[in-house]
Amino acid sequence: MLKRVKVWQGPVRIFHWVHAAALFVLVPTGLYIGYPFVSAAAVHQTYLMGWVRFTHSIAAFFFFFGFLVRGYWFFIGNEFEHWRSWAPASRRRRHGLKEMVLYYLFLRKKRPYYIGLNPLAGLIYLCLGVMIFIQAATGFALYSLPYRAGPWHAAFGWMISTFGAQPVRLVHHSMTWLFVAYLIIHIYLVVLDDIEEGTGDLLSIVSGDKYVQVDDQEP
Amino acid sequence: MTDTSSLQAALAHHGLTRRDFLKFCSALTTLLALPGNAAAQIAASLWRKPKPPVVYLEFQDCAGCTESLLRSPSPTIAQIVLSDVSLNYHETIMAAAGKQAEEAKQQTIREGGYLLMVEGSIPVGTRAACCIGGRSAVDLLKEAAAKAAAIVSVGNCACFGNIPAADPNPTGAVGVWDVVSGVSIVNMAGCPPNPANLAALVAHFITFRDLPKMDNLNRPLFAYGGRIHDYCERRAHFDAGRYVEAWGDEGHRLGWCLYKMGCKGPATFHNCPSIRWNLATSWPVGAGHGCVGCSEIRFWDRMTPFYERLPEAAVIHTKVDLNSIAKWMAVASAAGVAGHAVGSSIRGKLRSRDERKKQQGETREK
Ligand code: SF4
Ligand code: SF4
Repeated sequence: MLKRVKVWQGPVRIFHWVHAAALFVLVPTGLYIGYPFVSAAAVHQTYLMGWVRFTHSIAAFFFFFGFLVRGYWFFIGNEFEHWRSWAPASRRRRHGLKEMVLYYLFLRKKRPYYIGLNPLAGLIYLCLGVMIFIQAATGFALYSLPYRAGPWHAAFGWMISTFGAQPVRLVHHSMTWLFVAYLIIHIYLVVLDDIEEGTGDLLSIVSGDKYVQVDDQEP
Repeated sequence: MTDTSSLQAALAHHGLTRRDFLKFCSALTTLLALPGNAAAQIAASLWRKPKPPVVYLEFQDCAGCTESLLRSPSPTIAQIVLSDVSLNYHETIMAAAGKQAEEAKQQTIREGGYLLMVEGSIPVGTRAACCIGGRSAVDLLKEAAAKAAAIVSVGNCACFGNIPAADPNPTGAVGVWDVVSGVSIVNMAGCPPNPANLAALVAHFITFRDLPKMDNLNRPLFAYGGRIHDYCERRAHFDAGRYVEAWGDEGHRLGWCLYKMGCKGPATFHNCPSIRWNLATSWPVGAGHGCVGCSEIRFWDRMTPFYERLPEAAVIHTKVDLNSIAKWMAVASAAGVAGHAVGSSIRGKLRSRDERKKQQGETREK
């Protein structure tokens, strides 16, 4: 018999899709800003780079504030959403992490069983959090450049004075490719997990529910 | 050098009138972003005598800043104010030499209250790399700095070390502010700095006996407050998405944005777009070449390659293309995922075959 378990609550699901949408906007617009691969023809009355940069900044704000909401939910969320089931903080989760890696490397036959995130997935998402943090900080630092008397420069301008605008730009730009790498791996792994676990992993981020096999014999 | 005390004589010597001088004062007022009535105050102060003497020292430099100061097509008032009026010691242009020059300098230093201008970086690693009269640059600078009213670092070398300090920095070159403490230092960054800005700074100092407001790199905000990219005449093309793709192409001839040719305007603070060069006729980006970011700290390391958008990361003195490495990581993850998908589907097949066998075995046992 299958039992329904609420894994992801509303705010976490909304956060996920805000992030997904923002990322699909941020990556192409960001790559365009870094290297404008489409040029406007002389005759066209365009504002191409202007709109791309505008879109990029708006998506960045959504991305960052979604990130803050998710950070808050780490502390008040249910057992699956709580930071404790993401970070390999306990010995059991560290062991599970090793088992999960070995399984993905085809060195274990049986897939370790988890209802929420497996320890490896949790760790990857935490790394993603660090990436988002660096990307947001460098992004805001670059965003602050035109107006050095403003609040953004007060908060993030120290990076420009410490490392220089160009190195900050280099980190921001290179990091974009790591987000691309992350997207590829993330989408692949959830599809794989959906097939192998059979708990409805893919749909759970829409409905919030997973379906868990419980023993039929028990009353 | 002409009469060292009389501006009037210096102007007359170059065939300039008082009217030219007043125009110049108005221009400086605008440059300094001061209210209009400050022009009269500046004019009065510059006209008045005596003015603070200036000692100009050169260390590890190419004298390019001095060149930029002096080699204008016709003598400008900026040049007269800077060089003819109160310069007591300047190795490149003074008529005196040896003992005489040395004495003039020593006397000025003894009296104190002078403006010390420094060009070129200071080798603190290999001190012998730059010696004058047997004394090291560090020594000479410290001596001259002690009784200076203020120090003006002229050019990126004196400000931040610039080319001599570029990786791997063989002489351990640094800027003036790394050696001197206890005296206010203004960094007139640039390679070279614009003489108009220098004249404005000196006029400000003479008029108000004070230094203008500066940013966190000690650069006066009137000259380094705005970003090249935000005042550039090609900016409309940047926003429109019209870029030069190759030198001499159609876009280049039409004056489009040089972003893709490696222009560092988006990372550089300087007033070149408005003050311009060579009697305000043009400036690098106006002439069709990207900005190289010469007013920024460590620009030789951070803004290069000059014709690429992104810099190279230096890891243990080796240039590394971080962006390409990251790009290949994305490609590798796609390849890894594809490989893993094949592996997983084989594993899935084997698993269901095992299960089928097991089931068959179980039914046979029954
Ligand atoms: S700042 Fe530039 S022009 Fe001035 S001395 Fe250094 S290299 Fe030469
Ligand atoms: S030419 Fe350079 S400074 Fe001017 S708009 Fe283009 S990138 Fe900016």
